[in-house]
Amino acid sequence: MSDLEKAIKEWTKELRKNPAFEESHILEMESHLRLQVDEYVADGMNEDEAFRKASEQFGDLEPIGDDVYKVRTTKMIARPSWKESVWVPLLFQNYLKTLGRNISRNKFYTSLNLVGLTIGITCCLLIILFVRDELSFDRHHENADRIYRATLEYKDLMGSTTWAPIGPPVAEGLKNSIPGIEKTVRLFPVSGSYYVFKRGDELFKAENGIYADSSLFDVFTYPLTYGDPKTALARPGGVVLSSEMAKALFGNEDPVGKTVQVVDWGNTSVTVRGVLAEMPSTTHFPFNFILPLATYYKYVAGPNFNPDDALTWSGFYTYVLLDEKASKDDVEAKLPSFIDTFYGSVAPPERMASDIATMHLQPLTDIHLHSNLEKEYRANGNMIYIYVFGVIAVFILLIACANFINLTTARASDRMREIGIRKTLGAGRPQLAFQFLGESIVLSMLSLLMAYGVTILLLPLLSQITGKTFTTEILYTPMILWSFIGVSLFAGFISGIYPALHMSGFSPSKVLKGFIPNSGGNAFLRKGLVVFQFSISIFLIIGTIVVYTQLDFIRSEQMGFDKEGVINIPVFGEFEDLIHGQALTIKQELLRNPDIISVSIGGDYPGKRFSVEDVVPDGRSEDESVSVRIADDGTDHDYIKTMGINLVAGREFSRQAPTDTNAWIINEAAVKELGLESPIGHVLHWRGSYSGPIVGVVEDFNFRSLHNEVEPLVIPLNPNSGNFLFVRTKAANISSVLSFLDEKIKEFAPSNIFEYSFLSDEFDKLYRSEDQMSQVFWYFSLMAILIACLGLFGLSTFMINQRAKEIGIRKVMGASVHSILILVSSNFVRLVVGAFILTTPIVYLVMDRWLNSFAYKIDLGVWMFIVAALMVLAIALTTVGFQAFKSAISNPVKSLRSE
Amino acid sequence: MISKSLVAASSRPLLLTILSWGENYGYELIQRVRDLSGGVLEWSDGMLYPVLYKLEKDGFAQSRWDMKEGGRPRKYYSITPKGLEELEKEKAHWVNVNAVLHQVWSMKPSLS
Repeated sequence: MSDLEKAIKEWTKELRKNPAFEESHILEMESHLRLQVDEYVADGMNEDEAFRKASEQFGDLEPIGDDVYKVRTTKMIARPSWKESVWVPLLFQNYLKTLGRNISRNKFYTSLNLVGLTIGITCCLLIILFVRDELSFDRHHENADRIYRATLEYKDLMGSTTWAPIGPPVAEGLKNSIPGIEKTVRLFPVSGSYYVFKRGDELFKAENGIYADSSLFDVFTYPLTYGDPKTALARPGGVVLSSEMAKALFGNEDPVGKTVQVVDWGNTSVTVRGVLAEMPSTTHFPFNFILPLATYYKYVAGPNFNPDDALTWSGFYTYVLLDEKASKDDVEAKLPSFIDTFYGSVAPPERMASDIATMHLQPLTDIHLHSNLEKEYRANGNMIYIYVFGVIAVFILLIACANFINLTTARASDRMREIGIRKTLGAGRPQLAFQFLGESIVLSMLSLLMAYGVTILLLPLLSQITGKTFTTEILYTPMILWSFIGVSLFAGFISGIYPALHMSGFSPSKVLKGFIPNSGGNAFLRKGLVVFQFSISIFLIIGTIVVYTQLDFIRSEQMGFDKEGVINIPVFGEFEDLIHGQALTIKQELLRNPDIISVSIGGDYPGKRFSVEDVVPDGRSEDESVSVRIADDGTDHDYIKTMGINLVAGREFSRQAPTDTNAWIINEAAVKELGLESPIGHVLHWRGSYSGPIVGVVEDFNFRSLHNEVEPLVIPLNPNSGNFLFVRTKAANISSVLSFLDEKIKEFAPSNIFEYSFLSDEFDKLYRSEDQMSQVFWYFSLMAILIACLGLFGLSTFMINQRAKEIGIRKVMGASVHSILILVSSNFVRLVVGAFILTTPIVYLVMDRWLNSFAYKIDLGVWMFIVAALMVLAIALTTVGFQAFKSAISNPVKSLRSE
Repeated sequence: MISKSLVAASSRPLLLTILSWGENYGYELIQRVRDLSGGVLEWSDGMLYPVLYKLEKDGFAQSRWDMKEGGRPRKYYSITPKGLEELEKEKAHWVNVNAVLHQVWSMKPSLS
């Protein structure tokens, strides 16, 4: 084919592409072109030139196509359908103008929409920040996907208990026996409240220390600003400090090689071997300083105790780092046989160790939100809250969107004209829908900006409620920014899609004739949305009432001991030595204060975790030992009195009774558990070294949170031990007692740093997450109700305006203000009642389930539902009422005249 | 350059006139227009066809395909009686308009 032929074929192809031309047109025009080309060639031009000139002369095919289309079409505005564009840049200007005009003409409704959306988006943003923080725990370690915590599940008399820490020698055993485990590291929190470090003459409080294997830095990612991670924990005698501690102790100088003295160790010196770079707070095991585990082995555990012998002591948190190629399932499959071998020596006769004990590998990143084992490093979070808060945030956003939809569709009639005209001028339905959708997205973006600002303002409040720290820097990370944008796009889309589709479907001819489509379906949707909004609000309000009542109940419930008025004073260092040696003297001194009723030295207190041990009642064999909770950290003769625990049988420990050196006091649950008919006098054996008679029985008291039933508890006598001074006062004037205590203690131990807390507060800490939840519920209820009211306000205003004429007529006919009010409000009241009926069963079920997680709970009283209903009703009525009242007292002449 | 609207407005009477002289096909029609207008009217070739199709749609012209043996088929247009009527009307309109303009342009400006 010659080039000319090819060129002509191309040209014809272009023609064909244009839908305006029919086949006969194409034939004709091709023929025309050929004739022209032939003529030019005959004139002497070469083929290329001829074709070029001829096609140029023919003209641009597109405008010709448009003109041909105009001939063919019957449309008034003959824009070909294939050329119709949804996005026309010039039109875009018009859209913006329209939007601007809309906003300024309807400031009232637009601002309602904006405020509602802003609140909704803000709630979502705050929740996103919280959830992101919670989900990111422990992920900052490089090897996070390969790190697991080894935990041990024992079947015992109480079913089975899984312990988070396991025996000291297990880590080494795992590494040696199981291929696939690259490294292990053990952590052991420094027990007691805190150490005191001394540098020169200054004393520093050193809290939250851990002992760790030197492999800590191989497994986890802790960059050091000073010191060498390979050697920092290798030998005993060193310490690695957090950056805050290093700063406090050494200022800005490099502390490596320098020493501090540990007061609790008789002023022994330790050498600083490293300083940790600032650590993120998102870790399930925060700590401030690290001592080599070797130190514990060599110096602290003592000459008589080799930790590696204590196979069954749940003492060390053990983490394993798997090989890159290894799979968790493979490794876990090998664990039962490992247990049989390793724990074989302690297995009960004729049974395999793996029958009783199962070892689990917990992924590191699961621990914070999914782990609630015995003796966790500290109380973890809960995945449930993430879901709950997330769902609540979504619902609040939906309420705001529902507002938008309602207000927009209700006022659709205002835009009829515009829609009609646009359609006549050739706007297609997609184009219109796009315009309306665009409007709602622009509004939601505006809301986003405002929400961003509000979020910044609310960050401190969020930090306070959740106990985390949120700084404005977080708001600038790309992930957060994108999720914010995503949320508002979502809101804009959801709010706008229905009105866009609905309104773009209006038929212009009908509209311009004044026919307003206000079909039944439309009103149904509107009512449905209002019911939806109020349902969520009612749910949140009832939820708040229930949670608050339950927490209140817990706090004030008779716990079996009197937690009010007890001051906990941690003792350490110099004071600790003193207090164990001169307990009586000190107590006497303190008791001189008339406001002080009783003083006790001990280690365990209700709210703190009590150890679990096995005891055997006299007359039974070793295998019949019973697992009980034990207050083994120190209890003296005044413990029962100071704690305010009620004795129901027998007596307290007495200094006068020499047999009391190994005596027990147990609680009622223990009596049952041990199966003792007459407990007083019965001897209990513990660990072969502490055996003695039970001298008293106390009422069951809640030493753990009210989530749990009271467990059997035994209290040995272990005076002059323990890290707390408990002081019971009857004081109205606590601060005078506190300063008295501070003075007195300083007399004994001048180096003491006076610290105290209240027993009731310690106990309340157990409910920290419920507390958080109740606060969140409370704030969210407020938000939800606020948004729903905004919507109701706007809707009622609009509806009332619609019915102005009707109201005017009624007034003229003699209706009283009263009856008008009822007429106008009754519609809305009905909706709220409907919402109430819908939500009540659901709320009941959900709340009942939550309450069941408590061993002690309130009943779901009918009064709670009634109060919530009345509250919501009152709020709804007030919202509607204002406008209703205005219209009821307005001059009917005005509204009727405007015809 | 004569304005597009004038060129467009004159296209119909021009074509109708040429057609009234006899049947013709697209290529020829364009040549005729070019020759007749002497460069005054700048038509691009393609402009012709929409006008032709409109004439046909309005009933002022009709077309037939002529299958030449061995050559390409050709579409011939001819004027209809209705078209002839329309032509007379258009002629009259143009003459009238022309007369008005002529008169106006020969008047002296006056303040009355």
